[in-house]
Amino acid sequence: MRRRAGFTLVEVTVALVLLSLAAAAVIAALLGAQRTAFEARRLGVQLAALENASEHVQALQTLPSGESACPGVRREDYPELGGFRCVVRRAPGERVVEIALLDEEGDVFAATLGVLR
Amino acid sequence: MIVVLALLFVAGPLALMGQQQLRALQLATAARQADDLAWAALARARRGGATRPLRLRCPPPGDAAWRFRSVRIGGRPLGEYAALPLRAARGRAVWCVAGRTLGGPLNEGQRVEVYYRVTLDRHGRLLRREVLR
Repeated sequence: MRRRAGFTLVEVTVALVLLSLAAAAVIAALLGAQRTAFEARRLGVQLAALENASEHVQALQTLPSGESACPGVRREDYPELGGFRCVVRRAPGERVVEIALLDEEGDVFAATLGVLR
Repeated sequence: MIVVLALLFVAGPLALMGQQQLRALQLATAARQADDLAWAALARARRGGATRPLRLRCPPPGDAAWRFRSVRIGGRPLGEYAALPLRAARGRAVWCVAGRTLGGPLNEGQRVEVYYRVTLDRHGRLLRREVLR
């Protein structure tokens, strides 16, 4: 039997293809992880903004007439949410308000209800 | 080759961990909304109601007797709430309240429901809150 010298072209090609597939899988997984981490961060900040607004609304003495900016929520404190606006509006009920976070187009992207004490 | 394999073993669990964290935050958002819905239902129901309630105990969670009303904010559904008065001793008010999210975009796709039995004194202060299950 003749001894093989080095690898054949087929072996090298298969190895390279496998390696590039594995690398692509790693990159895809890392990108996915990065995206979920970004999403989670944004969601956490969004929840914090809603909870802060809710806390401040509870301490309000009078109901807002019509629509007004959330008390105690400043846009600079939540840079992750971009150019959002937080508004409170009256909702059905004696001391109930709706708390909504609006994006630049004025669409609600996060909301909850608050009750004044 | 070894480096790529090692990275694969790191990246997989990392992605999984991130997804679990994201889901936990989504659930926290929806749970907060369900709770807020329940308290809003109580605040809304307390203003009316001159008739003496006949009901003695809360219906089981998910029962049709709860008569949920839906709540929309900015045209998007936030969830549903319900409040039922119970017959109570003088100077007390007892309510069955419930709030649930429907898994819409405002709820981050999560369905959460809460059911409480709350006891208030004559000034509307909270004396007791029990979770119904």
